[in-house]
Amino acid sequence: MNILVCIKQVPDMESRFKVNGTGDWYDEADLAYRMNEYDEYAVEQAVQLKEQLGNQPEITVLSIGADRVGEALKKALAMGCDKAVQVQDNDSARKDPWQIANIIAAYAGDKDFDVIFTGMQSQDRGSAQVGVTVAELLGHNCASTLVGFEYADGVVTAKRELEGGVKSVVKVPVPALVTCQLGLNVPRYPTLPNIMKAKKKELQLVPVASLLKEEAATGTEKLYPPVKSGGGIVLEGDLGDVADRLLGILKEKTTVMK
Amino acid sequence: MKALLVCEQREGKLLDTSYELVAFAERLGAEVSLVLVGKEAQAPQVAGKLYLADVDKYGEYSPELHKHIVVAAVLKENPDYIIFPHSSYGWDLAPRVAATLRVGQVSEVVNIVDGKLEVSLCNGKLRRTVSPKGARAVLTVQAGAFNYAGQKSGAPQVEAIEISQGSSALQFVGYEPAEKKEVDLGRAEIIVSAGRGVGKKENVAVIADLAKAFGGELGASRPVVDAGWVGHSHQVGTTGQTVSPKLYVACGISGAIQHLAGMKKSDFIVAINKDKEAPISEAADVMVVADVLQLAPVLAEKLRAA
Amino acid sequence: MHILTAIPNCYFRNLEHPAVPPREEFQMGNRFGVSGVEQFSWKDLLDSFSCTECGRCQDLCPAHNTGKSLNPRRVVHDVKVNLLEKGGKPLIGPKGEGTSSEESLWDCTTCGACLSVCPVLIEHLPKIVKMRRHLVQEKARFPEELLNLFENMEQRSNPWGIAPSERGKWTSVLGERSFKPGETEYLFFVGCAGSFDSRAKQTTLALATTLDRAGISWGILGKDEICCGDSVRRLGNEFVFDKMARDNVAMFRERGVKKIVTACPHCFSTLKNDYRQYGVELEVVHHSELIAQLVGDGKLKAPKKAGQGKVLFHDSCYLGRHNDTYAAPRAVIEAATGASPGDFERNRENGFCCGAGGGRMWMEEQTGARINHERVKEALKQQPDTICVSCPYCMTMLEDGLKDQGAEKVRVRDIAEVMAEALNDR
Repeated sequence: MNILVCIKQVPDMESRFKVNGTGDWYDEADLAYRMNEYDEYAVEQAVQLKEQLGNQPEITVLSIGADRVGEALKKALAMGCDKAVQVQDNDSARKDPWQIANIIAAYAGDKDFDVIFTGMQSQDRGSAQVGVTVAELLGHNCASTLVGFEYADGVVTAKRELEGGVKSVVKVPVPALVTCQLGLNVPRYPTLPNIMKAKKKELQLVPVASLLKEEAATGTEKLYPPVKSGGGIVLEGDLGDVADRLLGILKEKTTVMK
Repeated sequence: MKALLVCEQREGKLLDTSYELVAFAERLGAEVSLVLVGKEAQAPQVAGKLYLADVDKYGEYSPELHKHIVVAAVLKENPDYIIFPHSSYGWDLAPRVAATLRVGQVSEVVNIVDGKLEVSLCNGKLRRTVSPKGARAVLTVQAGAFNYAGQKSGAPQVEAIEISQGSSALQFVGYEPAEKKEVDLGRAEIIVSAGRGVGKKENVAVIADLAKAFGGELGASRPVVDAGWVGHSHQVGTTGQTVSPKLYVACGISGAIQHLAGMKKSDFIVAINKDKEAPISEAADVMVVADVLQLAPVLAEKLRAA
Repeated sequence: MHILTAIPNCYFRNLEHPAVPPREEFQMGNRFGVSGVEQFSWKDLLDSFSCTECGRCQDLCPAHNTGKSLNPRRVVHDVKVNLLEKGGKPLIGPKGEGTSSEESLWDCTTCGACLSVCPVLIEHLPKIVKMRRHLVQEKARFPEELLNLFENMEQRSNPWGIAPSERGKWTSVLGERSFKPGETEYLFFVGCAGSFDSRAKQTTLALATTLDRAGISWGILGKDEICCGDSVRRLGNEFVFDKMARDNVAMFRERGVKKIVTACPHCFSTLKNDYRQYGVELEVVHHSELIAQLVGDGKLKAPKKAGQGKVLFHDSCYLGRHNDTYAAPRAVIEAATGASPGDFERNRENGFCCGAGGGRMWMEEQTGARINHERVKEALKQQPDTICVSCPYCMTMLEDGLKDQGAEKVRVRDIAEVMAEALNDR
């Protein structure tokens, strides 16, 4: 069996983001990067599948970006992936989800991956498109937003998370692509011997130009900080009045008040 | 401008997100048509053409078939935008439609700014406007961002839609209901938390009732859990759960760093505390200076009346 | 047997520092930590044969005293039994003679009471840390709440995962206070608690204003400061500690740091003792020592204002037992209030931990009585108005304990706050 995991390296969401000089992305200087949280679940599920199948499958982990993505790849290798592919692209932030999916599909096209794992979305863009689009481009079966994964006899039994805590169970024959939701499993903390071993595993470098043939389908016009959510509002006084003002603010500033 | 709205139903019930799409299309100023895999009885009660595919024939969850149904409606209607709710249904289906049509997709639109589509990124720390490159695009719309204020009394003009593809490789097994017994703070959209400031065990019920009125889950700070007033599964903080709901209401919580570290990622934070200077005020979007035991019942009553 | 080994055991005791575990070499093929008795050092094994089973260590151990599964005497005894049975039993596993349970290893606050009271100078602490190293590094097996801690430490270099850019924010009321190479005398190593915890930030400010009043030149690293790594080292995550230590030492060298003052005994002990293993000799002072010295030199006029009522002083393990500093904090309190503080029943070498050391600050306390409750009850017998501390962890644990006991009216103050309040009242 051949397994592919696609991971993205994203900035630490705790960072203070600044808009860059051209006003169309965030300034990447001074940001610390880490593996996209959703992708950690994807890596863990891939490794669990490998273990379930007696360590026979080979797991390839792929990431697109500048050399710094090597750190995220190394973590995935330490968690148990077998080899890493870095699609070298210093300008990956400007690729839209359509292009990213096309790069992955172009890489995976002739490699006969039986199961492909991706995160359900990235923490920075959050478009939730790439995984499903890759499946479409490859003609693989696809289930998204997994909170449960089982594999037996060429069929993935996926538990998809729907709204309100309801789950939908669906059987997906391989070749399959699944996108992983938070809580699917407990991503492991790599052991030190595995961190050491990861340093010796293969890292393949592939120039992006050899894989990308598509133009972007969407483009960022302008990037800016949101209008302040209301920070520093202090409400005091008559209880009924305070309650009304609070509910008014919540209606205006949040999406949860119907 | 024409918009095709992809409505969503589950187990015989039209989901409210369908009306939010109508509200969004109105903001766009688009002429609306709709598509639904369901039954006529569930049709959204708004004017416009509705392409209806029979759910008994095509299945409730069979995204490949739903994809072809939407594409068939697109071919008939020729819309500029094909719009989905950004939900488990929408984000699963929209990229399939976009890839089939080879058009761009803009995900989770939160607003329209100067005619441009606005989306959020990096946990809402930034916003950006995005433009599709081609003449046609797929959009998904953030749940709750656009509220439908109109009447639900219109009658759509129904046109049945059929596709030639008949079977799905995916096999839908069934639904599992939400587990009710356990609190799931990690998934909750609204959390109302009780802190030491509520005073005693009996008062936790007041906060629990407020949580219920909000339609949210009850959380708690560590001392409340340590004292045995609520179970550990409610604990928010460094040694409890790290949460990021859309709304976090901290009741009588001073805001020790162990607690702040567990809830600071919440989209919107309301703190209710007698002490205006409590450390929680640094994290709060709204600081309500009040005795939470007095305010909570008033607030709960107003929420229920609304 | 112990009669034969006890004397050489005293002779071979760790001259470096008993709380400082040895470094590890991170090379392919190495084994990390200790999972079998043969991996212990000969000194560890000699220790186990020297034990007279007198039980002084268990009498003073905060974990054992509060009904937890750790008993330091048993840890040493089990090493001996395991060795005599030639490793026939697991060293770490289900509790039984010759085996230490994982739970007992995690119970340790690394307070050092066991080793300070031992008549034959047995070093319990390094054994526990070595076994923790095996669990963390080889097995990735540890209480689940530590996963969050480790990730926060690795990614944001502080235990709460707060953005590093927030570190210097507390100076906003003082203005720009960066450490300037060649100009600034003391690096104020603020530490994670002093930088982010709103209560500890009050101590930080108190110390800053006190140093200003004495005309001391000090500066901070701000967003470039990273955690000293104390918690991760005591928890056995030596790999992460090693990186933090190397990064810190490199930064100190780059900025030409020679003198460091800190208000946290954990930073203090780690920078002063543990970092020596990284080839850097720094003059590190705890703020109690510096303030006491400034009073002694007449640079701070001892105000002697009685405003704190009846004061008890709680010894921090990492300042007291691990670094033999008992007089300085008491001298500061005396200078500020005009009277030397009262003592807990258990004090100085016999002091009782607050419960937060050894990484316990970041773990749930599942079994037995709360260590901080025990300590607070001990204080309340004397009906104090103020409990003075010299450590941000002690501050949190005692304040929480007092609230839990319904005794919020008893204040907890850092020695720097007591001094700053007295100076301001002058």
